[in-house]
Amino acid sequence: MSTIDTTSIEVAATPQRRRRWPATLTLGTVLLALVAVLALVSLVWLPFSLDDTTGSRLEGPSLQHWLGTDKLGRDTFSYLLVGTRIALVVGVGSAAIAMVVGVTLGTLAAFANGWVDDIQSSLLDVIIAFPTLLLAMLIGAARGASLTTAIVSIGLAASAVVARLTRILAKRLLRQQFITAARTSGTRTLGIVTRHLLPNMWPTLIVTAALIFGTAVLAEASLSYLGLGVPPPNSSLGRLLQGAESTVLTSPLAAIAPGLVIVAIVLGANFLADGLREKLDPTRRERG
Amino acid sequence: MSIEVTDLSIELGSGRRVVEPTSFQLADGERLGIIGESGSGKSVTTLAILGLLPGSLTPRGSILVDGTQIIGASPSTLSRVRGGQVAMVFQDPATALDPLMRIGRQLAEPLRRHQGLRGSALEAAVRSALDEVGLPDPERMLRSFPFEVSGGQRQRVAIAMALACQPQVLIADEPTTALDVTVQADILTLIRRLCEQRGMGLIFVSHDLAVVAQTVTRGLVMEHGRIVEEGPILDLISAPTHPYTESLVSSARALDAALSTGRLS
Repeated sequence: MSTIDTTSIEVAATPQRRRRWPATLTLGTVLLALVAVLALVSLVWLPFSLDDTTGSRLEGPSLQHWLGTDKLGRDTFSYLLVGTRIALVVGVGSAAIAMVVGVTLGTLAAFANGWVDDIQSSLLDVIIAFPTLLLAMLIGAARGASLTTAIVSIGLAASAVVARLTRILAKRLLRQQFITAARTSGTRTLGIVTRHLLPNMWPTLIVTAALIFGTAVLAEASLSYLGLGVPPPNSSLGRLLQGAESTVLTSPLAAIAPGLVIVAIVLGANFLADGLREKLDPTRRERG
Repeated sequence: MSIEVTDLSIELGSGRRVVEPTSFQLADGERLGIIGESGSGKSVTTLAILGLLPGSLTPRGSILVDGTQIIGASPSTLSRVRGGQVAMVFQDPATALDPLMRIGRQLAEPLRRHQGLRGSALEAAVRSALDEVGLPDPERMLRSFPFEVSGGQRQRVAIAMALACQPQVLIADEPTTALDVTVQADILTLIRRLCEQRGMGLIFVSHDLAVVAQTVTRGLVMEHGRIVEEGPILDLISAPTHPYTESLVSSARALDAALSTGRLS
């Protein structure tokens, strides 16, 4: 009859709680910070303006043009700086839209029961069955390419995954006794959501947000590569890659540089997600 | 404040009854035990009193809490009854507290909502609530997450939360089942002391006759969704009339005998 309570960790309850700073978190932050510096620089300074075609065509790297010039004699480095900024804007914007839409829908879905729940969860499964990129392409093609369309379409496409995750997390939490306990002490549904559901889902959701940020940057590059992303005169990493495709053997740096930026962003986002997961869950803090 | 349950039956969606029409009362300040094995319908009966039945279970009949009908009540009525008039302590203290909320904030929640306390008054109330349930070192306790304290301490916090709004009736659903035997006795004493001090009514649900006998004055024995026997707890133990009660008592006696003689007959 006596059950030994294995979950109690009395010794751990010392005031000097150790707060570890995971290495992945540092690495992710540094990578993203470097990229962010590139993006911020583009706001205040560009070596050449984007419509400056005074350079000679397809020049190699030089002191003047660090990454050479493109077919029209424009400075590739300037385009890279602006393209990085656009990539970050799309990443942050899409992740924000995906989170707001996904968490709202998922939480509402978690409270539904019976056939309403069945219908909406199978609907989500159908949407998730389409790759994010394909969905974003559909929306992009229907609405016409623009920066806003790119952000909204990628954000909406990614929100289905967030909604499904939120629904499962919330459903699992809603079955827990502390939710019943909160109801017992008179907390209404809105209070349950804001005080108990969201804080408990937050560690998982923020990790997902970081991952979606990376995916969104990749999706924007892919869309632009295909000509469905952010249109000219704006720059885009995907379009830089596409432009460098034909000259990759003569000036490889023009293809390598945007590639490296994309890799840095995606890798940074993944490291950040990993580090955040370790950092944010208080039950994992003590473990070495 | 009294609770009056009349012809309460609880049905699954399929129409199968989990609780057959049942009636009982809890008088003002009375301590009532509901005894029965798992699946006898004792827990759902208490959940029904708070209007907390899951959507798959439908209650019928009448439950009057201080004259307020619970079955079919509006969310605002239910929210007034819950916590303010009737509070509940659950079986497993491991899951009864929000794992990511510090104990201090968690305790402050019902106090802020039901008593409108703020600032230093709220802080003082939280401290005295911890003190009342016999939790030492309030400073440390307030800043701890639930997983950082022991099971017995968590259950004390859960009791403090339930009592925070000065309910007139406490429902305790197997509050000691998940705890060590030594801790169990402490929690039982605590619950009985709090009830006596506050003149608070108690509905104590358990499968353990010995535990119930220590805590309540009157008992209901439930089997397969029916009340099979009812009466003062000492009478139930000394002279059980229903075979099921008898088997509960004799198994407890066998254990008792084994403990005193050192061997199981």
